[in-house]
Amino acid sequence: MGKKRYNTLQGYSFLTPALLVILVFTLVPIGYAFFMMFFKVDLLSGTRTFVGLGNFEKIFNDPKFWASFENTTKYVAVVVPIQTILAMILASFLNSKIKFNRTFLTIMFIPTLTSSSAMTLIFMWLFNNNGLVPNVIESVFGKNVQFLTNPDLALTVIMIMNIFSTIPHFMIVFLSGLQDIPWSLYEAAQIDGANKVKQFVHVTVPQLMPITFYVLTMGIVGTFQIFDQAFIISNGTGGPQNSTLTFSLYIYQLAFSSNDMGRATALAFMLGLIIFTVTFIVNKLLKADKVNG
Amino acid sequence: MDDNMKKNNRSLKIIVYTLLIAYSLLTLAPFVWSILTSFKTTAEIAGGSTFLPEAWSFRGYKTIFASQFPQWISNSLFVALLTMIFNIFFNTMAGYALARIDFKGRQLLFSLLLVLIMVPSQVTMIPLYIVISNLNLVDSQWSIIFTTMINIGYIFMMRQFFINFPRDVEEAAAMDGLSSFGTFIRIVLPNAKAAVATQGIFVFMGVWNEFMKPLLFISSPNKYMLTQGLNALSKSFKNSTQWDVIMAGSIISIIPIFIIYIILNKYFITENDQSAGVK
Amino acid sequence: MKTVAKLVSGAVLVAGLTACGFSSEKSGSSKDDNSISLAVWGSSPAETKGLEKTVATFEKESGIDVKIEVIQDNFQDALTARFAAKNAPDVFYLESFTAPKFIKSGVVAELKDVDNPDDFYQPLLNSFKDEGKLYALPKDYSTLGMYVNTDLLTKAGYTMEDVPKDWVGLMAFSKELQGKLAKDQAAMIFDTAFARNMSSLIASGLTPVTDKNRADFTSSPEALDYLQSLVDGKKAGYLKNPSIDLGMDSAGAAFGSNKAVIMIEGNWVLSALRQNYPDVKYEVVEAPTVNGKNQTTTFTVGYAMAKATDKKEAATEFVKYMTGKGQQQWSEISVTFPTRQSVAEAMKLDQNEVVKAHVLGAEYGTVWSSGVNLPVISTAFDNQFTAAVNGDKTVEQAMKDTEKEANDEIKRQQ
Repeated sequence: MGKKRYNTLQGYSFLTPALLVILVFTLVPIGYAFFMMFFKVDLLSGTRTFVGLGNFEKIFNDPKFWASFENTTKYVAVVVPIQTILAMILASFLNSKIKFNRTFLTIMFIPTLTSSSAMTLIFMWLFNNNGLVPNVIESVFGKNVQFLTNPDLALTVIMIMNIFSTIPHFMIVFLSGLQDIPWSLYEAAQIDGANKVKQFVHVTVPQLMPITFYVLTMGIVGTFQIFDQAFIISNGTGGPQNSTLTFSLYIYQLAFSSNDMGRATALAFMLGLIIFTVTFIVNKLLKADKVNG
Repeated sequence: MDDNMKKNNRSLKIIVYTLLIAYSLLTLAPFVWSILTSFKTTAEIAGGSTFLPEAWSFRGYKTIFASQFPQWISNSLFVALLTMIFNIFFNTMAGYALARIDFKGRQLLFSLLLVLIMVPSQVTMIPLYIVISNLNLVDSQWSIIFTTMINIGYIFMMRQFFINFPRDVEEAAAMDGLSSFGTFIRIVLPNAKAAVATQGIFVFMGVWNEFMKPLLFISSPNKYMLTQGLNALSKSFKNSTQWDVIMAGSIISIIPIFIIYIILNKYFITENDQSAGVK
Repeated sequence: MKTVAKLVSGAVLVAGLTACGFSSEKSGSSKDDNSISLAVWGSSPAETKGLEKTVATFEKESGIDVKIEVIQDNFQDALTARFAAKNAPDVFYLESFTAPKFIKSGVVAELKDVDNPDDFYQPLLNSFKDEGKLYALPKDYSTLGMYVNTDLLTKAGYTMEDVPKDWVGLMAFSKELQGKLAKDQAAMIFDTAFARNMSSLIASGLTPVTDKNRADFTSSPEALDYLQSLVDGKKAGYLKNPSIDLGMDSAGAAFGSNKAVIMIEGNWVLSALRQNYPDVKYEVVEAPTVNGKNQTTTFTVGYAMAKATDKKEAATEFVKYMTGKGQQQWSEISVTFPTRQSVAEAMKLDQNEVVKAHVLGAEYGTVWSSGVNLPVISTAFDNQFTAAVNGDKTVEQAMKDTEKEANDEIKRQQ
């Protein structure tokens, strides 16, 4: 009994600085936004009218919502598994006893520092209709493929950009998780006759589960909220034909071209709910957080 | 180990090296390209298709060095370093508590924190500005420090790292009569170097590259963060950008992050035998 | 435990103290009675200098202090945040495109007793009016003109006389011209954005934004023909998009590096061409006529005053000065076009071969502004018309879809 109370006191005192800052600078703004979703809001003048669930009704009747739902879901379903698996594999490569692993790490880390405007320039240069990739494809396959104007391919280009830029980030997280796996576990597996691949499957993957839970959750959050790349590729329109319209871009359009902050926040909280549900289901399926007591 | 397995491991090694080298080249190419590009003229950059500069131009760098650039660097350094220290301490403490201290409401609190990062920032930015404005923090660097000194994402990350942390180390410390805070400082932190270093570099990068907050919160040129200052310098005419300044600026702003990386680098990969024994 | 408590209370104390200590410099309305705040966006070095000099002259003449606050990027978002936090600047830049939204929200003060309002180009002034009341005074403007790369033109065997002045003729000419160019060159650069095509659609007899503030894209066959000509041009390859088809950063870049013979662009490219592409030879003529009518798009920015300001007098004086007595100084240093005809005459802009075509457009140009729903209508058009340009839909279908998408969204806003 005394122990329990002591623990509670201790737990909260460790959390106090964080909770204090979160309260003022995260919870209060979110709370403020939360109430806006039941109103029609004009931020400029501060006038608002109560509309109840009217904003949600409007969202469900908007084909753009369903388009952004489809795009974003497709996006998450493709990007999250690829980036998680690749980051994990690369990290375990670097953690195996190979030569120059530090050099490899540095080379792979530096590109995360490449500015996003440079990345955009490079991608436009590679994928424009007269660019390197379409020209190579045309000379090899004799087929003219237009990446940026084809609705399906435009989203693919954004996916590649995203995977490319997030892998090193998660790779480092995995790598520091790998540092905590006791070497003795690998040795034991070796004695049992497990080869490297088996060691990876039976030791590395389960030991990394808590970290995988983190990477998956943050990956899901990040990809559901994808904004920058979609904005840049389509100039903010989400076109052609809503093919690059993501949830966040749609929220942005509602807030700033429709000037309807109430509807934008309603959608934002709906997105939050979707992210939460998906994270919950994915992690239940993978039993990723089972270690947690 | 029998011969067959050795052979398997050798061919696996070749595959690993090939993949690593291929991936390294793939990621390095854009980076090298952007270094080279910072020495091109705006016309050449906007034109797109060259790899080496046609004629080496230093105009981008000159424009930056002729500005209030030293002031912006020191503003950004001040904010980023302070924020990094705050984050390392407070996020790690919070993550540790959520993973290792069994207190009432822990699971609920953790879930609530996760929910908070799931609300997209497009709708919280303006309310956040209202909070900053009510606290009279507009046009003060503290507005950026206060709003970035805690990061729920990294609290979450630290929690995940601590879940596998061996319990006997803490118990031994408690036996030695260390207070829980003492245990945290003297035992837990030093044993979580890799995670703390990872967090440190990411926080530093995040604040260093932060764009929207400085833009909204800070308006006096002498208080600009580096990103903001470089953005101001690269403005040229409507619908056209001074690419040479942008590219030179992006290279310059990498340097401090790179230094931090060099300092923390040794924690990302520790020697394997070492990590086996201590834990 | 004690240590934790100490550390926590320490942190709270530090946070509290710094919050108080560093907060004294609140921007926005300053308490000083003789000073006003002015929010502007970041722009070219010439414009920054022009603003600073003109403001300095104003400060000397009036004894009023002006604090210039530069919002480098995302100006609308930042300004919205400041209004929402009741921390609005006294005077701020207002773009004609977003003006209706600000005016309808009731946060902009009406400007009365403007000196000699007839001197302004009327289309510019009208874009800041609502129900006969004036809410901002235009500080400068840009119009679209037709830029022709004379080197490439001569190489292809043509002279400026061969370049048609009307849209249909221009398309036929571009088609012919493309046959004499390389694959990575364009006879003409084109832009599918609504901002660039609204005036042509209006000249074709369409009223894309009706007087009831609804979208109409289907009632004029001539307008569909005009849009069809863009689709045909893109398909045949004589109209190209600078970034998608050529991988260039902008139309100016494509034109400047001899990748395009003709572009229809705003006068802002002039300084970019001068600075980054000094070798390119070109002439500027008026934008082509559509359906026999002169047309161009005009972009304008004005000075507006927040209704909530407690320095109405000083702010009004400033706005009037910057668009009146101080305008010539501003226009000359910033290299922008004056919004008063008398200043344009004094600056002899009509005798300047390069800018003449742009200045002529000020009288007949369609200002990029059309009620509160223009942003919605324009987004719908941009989203749908690209589908027609890519060949995924007919123009007719795309315009039907644009109209529906826009009007449905407008209905949802009611």
